[in-house]
Amino acid sequence: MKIEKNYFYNLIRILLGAVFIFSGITKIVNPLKFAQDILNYQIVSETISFWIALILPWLELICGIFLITGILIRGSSFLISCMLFIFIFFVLSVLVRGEQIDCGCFGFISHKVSWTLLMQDSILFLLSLIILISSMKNFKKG
Amino acid sequence: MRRFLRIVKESTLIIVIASIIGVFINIQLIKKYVNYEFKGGFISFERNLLPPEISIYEAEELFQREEALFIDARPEEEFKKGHILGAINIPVNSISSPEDLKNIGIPHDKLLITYCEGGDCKSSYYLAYYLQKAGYKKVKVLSGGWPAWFENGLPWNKD
Repeated sequence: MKIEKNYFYNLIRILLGAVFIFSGITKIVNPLKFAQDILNYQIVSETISFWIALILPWLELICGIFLITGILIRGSSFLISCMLFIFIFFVLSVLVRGEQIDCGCFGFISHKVSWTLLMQDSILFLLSLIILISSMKNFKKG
Repeated sequence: MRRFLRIVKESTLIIVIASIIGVFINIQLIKKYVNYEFKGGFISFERNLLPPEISIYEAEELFQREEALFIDARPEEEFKKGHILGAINIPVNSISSPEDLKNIGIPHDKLLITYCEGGDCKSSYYLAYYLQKAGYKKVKVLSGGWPAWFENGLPWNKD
């Protein structure tokens, strides 16, 4: 597919893709740690945490690669937006409950859930929406 | 409508690819999960650091002699409802690494006994494991946890 020749758009696309590739790899190396991190949020059951931990990191990695290479860009930007929306919900629920848990964001360099993290996720979510909307506009033109 | 359909199709394809790879790569973990090997939680305990258990009777003796510090691994709200007299609360979900436990003022020479909700609860094991990793040599897990202590009419209080 043709990638729009807009520097801002390309910059966001590559940046977002790189973040998700990195995030995916750090979780792929230790799926059980990630499963425990998900479980610590106390939102989903042990079984769901396990399956999410097996599949989500690969989803992040593939979406990141596709976003950078421009393959299935609408689908990957849509999925990234959905993932970020869910992450925001998880983080917000922990902040509202006033708990202090490990966010599980980047595997071994993970840190505690905080308002800064919520802001980071929100910015990434906005960036993913820009990519999604731009790619949909491209589709309309084409 | 056509573009939304396209997004759904692309997303489904990506999810299918990720699921196939995820399942294929982690097939060994899935086998272990099916065999209930993670019943004790997802963190794999190193064999030499597996936290030993202590019976409610032994724990009671140590409590009477004030030779042990009891650590409640349950969430704060559960701890406030009722806990072993003199116990401190370290909710296991507040710990992300053993480093978090290194400078919290727990004496190194005292026996530490962790406990949680009883049944097949795992948080006391995690906490004991993390404490051992943080350098505490004498750590045990209370068998039966809080319900066993409470049902035996042993001293407790609430905050």
